[in-house]
Amino acid sequence: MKEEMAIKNPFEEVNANNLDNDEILNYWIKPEGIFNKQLEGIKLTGLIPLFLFGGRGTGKTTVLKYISFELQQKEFLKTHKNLNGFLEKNNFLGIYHRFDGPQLDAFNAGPDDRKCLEAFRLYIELVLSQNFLWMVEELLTNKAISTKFNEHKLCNDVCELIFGKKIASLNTISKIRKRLGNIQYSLEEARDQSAIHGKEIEIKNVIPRGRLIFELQNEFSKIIPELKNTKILYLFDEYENLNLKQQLLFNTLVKHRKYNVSFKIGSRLKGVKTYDTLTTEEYLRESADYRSVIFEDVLSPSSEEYKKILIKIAEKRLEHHPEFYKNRIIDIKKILGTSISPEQESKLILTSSKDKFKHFYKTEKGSKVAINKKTLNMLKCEGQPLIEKLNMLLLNRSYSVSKIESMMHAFISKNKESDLYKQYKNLYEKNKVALLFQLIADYRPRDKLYVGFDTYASMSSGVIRTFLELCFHAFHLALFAEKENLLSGKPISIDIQNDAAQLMSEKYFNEISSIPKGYGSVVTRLVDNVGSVFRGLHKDPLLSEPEPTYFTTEYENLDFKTKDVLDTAERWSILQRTRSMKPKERSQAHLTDYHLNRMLCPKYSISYRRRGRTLISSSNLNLLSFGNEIEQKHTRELISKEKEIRKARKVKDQGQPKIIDYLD
Amino acid sequence: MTNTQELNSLLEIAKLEYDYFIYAKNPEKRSSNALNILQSSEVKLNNIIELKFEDAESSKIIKTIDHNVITCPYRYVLAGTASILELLNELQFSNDDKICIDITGIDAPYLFHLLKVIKAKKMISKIDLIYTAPETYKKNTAGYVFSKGIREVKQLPAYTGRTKANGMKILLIMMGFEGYRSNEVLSSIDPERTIALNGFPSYSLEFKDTSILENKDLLNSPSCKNNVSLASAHDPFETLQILSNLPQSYKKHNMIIAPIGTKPMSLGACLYCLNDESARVVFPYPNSYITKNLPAEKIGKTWIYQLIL
Repeated sequence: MKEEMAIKNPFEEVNANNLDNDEILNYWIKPEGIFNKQLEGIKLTGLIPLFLFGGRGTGKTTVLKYISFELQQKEFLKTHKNLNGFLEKNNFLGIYHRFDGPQLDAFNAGPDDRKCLEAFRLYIELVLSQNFLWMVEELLTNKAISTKFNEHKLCNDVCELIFGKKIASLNTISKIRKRLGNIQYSLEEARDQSAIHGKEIEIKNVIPRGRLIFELQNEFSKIIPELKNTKILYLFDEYENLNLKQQLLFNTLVKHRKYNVSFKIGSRLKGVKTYDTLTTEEYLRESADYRSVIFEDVLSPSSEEYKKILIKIAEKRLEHHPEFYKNRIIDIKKILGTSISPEQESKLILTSSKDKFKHFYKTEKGSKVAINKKTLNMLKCEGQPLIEKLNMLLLNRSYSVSKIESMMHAFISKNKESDLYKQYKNLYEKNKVALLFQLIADYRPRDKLYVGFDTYASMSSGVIRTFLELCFHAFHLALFAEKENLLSGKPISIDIQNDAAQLMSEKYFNEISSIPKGYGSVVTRLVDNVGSVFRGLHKDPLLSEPEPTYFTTEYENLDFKTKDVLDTAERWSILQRTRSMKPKERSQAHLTDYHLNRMLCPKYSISYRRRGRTLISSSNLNLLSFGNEIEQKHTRELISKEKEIRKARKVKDQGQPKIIDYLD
Repeated sequence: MTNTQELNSLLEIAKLEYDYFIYAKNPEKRSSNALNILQSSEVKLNNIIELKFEDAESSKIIKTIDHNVITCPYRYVLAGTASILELLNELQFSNDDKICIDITGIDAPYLFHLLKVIKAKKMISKIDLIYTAPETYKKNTAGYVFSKGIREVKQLPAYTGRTKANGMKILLIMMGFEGYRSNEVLSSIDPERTIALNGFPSYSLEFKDTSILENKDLLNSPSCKNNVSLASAHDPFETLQILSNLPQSYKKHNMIIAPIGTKPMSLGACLYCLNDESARVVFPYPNSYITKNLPAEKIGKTWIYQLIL
């Protein structure tokens, strides 16, 4: 019993915001490991300002925290007694600052926007400069700065810079820091007074823009040799929480950064509301003023690079848990095992069913029609349900029974020279996953299995946190139901993995409703409608397009409200924008593709692969988001039907023998 | 005389009289229960001001023959409070006047701001507050539902705290029945430490367990790890005491308070913040409050708190 209590789930904490500095060091890999390839020519800790874009849980916070002074000093102290040599090794000091939404809003109470913004600017500069001074004090205490320097002169210079005069009493760095703290308190008090009396905020100590975050650092680098070549990096997290005017202000600071000071900014996708600055006609230009990295592009769910990162991160976690480490159970790929193939899964479905002929039928006018015994015997392929299912598909597509039989035999006998073999193989490879979904639908209540390392990696949609959460659920269930197996190095069973995926999918869906500012319910509605359309299309008897998992729309033609919903869904990684194909016709507008986050696939029992595309017009997207129940239902049906008809026509144009009844 | 007592008991031994009685009327019976008790006990109420909370952006003063109504936009505290002050001014409020506020139906952000303004402007030094507790709540399949969704987590005006640049964030959250609201506060603040405050003794036996169950995500979160303190659901002075007794070491950090528990607990937090300006207060504004099928079924006890500001 004691032992049971002691085993901790290695994936228990997945949110970087909740990890303390030690946990980030223990559980995370060096950010360079993630960005090796994509940051060619840009150093994560270099002077070029960098915007790190990504949906929730992609790892922005962890990367920013990782390069902060607090973490870097901890990392250094693992192998050193003190910080002597720290600045030679690192040559940068990162100041992490998270823009906490409620606090930002507190500066918007006064009637004059400019004054509110100025108070906010001063407040942030005061906080950042105190952090800088505290860091220097730490560096002095821990011997990272060992060269003697004239602190008195430094303080005089700093006082002149900040207050315009020497102040005898401010003769240590610590005293200056405390004075800045007091100015900040008085600013906060003025903020409260303005709310109480309904008056403008009164700023008593105005310190010009940039002086506390650029010039102050420069003064230090002039006098303290160790800081001469040390970069000061402001690591801003959750930039999307800033309002438009606040972003204008920070964009201005980024544009006019000075000396050895720079910015690394984390933001949700679509979180930067403007690239303009406070200066008329000046704006942030990519390459010239900043570079950007989109995590979702870097961490493509199917890339080997991404899988390697997941393996490394999981390994670091497992290594810190003795129950797993002592038996070298640290390879998540082995623990989850390989993904189950469509053929294996189809056989499992039939094995568990008494009636093994449920998938032998033809579809006419949307209804199942039984086939005669002779046809059944001709199209049967013992132990190969997917082949049998393909035969039914071809039957629905009006291929003759004898032709299907010939094609199948050519395929089974591997008659590679034959055209029939090639044709059948092509159809089989293209459609087998889609056929599996149809087979599953035939054998309800059987559900699709979402198991194995590759599947988990794909479902995580490039969001590291989602993968870790999936692992958490799988380990949680396995530690309860099959602990001995798990601790002896056997893979987690298919059932447990699938349960974990289903659980996580449902949880993921339910969490959408908590998106703030009233978007939760609208995004939920849109996602549910799109998921339902995809689920329906997976059952299309003609498989006019296999595995429809993403939709395309004319983003620029969307009305403001619908655009806002899509942007919000993208900001929260519920929808992921993917690279679109070029328009087929010259006159056609550019289309934008959106993939439903793959974590939702188990909920809708759909494929997680990027295959079939569904066109949804801007007006239909609006109805799926804001329409009443009847309008939503009608729109779902319309999209499904439009797609079936369009594809069926395509099949006809391509010279298929006969076209489907319901087109007539 | 203790600070907290039942209104009926006090009426038996003391003669009450108020120049201003402020309360918020809503379809819940308990919101006007105190007014009924006071009127049936023939307590003299010279001016009755009724607050009406609504989802609007501006506030209005509507005068009737026997009382005044102020519409209060629940997300725009400054606008609503300004109207209350304007009306008091029109009614020639003076420092010697006696005010009683029934806080039962008053939104926590308004309660906080009203008391802050009264204190900061030195309008009066003594005030009586009344609260009528529910005895039971209606429960549907989703549990106890009082509001829908979260519009935003905001700092309450004039409770913005004093930031310690290198301090940790310590969140003190008073647990209600709607766990998603505490989760939203948690993710918005991202604290290093969290203390959950549960109402115990609660109005009803099952309530203390309900709030634990509904807030299990909060309680299991790494910053909280089941760090729960207890304070009476109906006695604000217990909450005040708990906050006042927090370790001195917390003073060098940033204390953030989220009053989403019972109204008396929120009042306790408010009383603490009136004396310690370093704490900041945040509140998760819902998309909407439930106005139909209101949750409180039966009316419980009515309490009176006599405060010196």
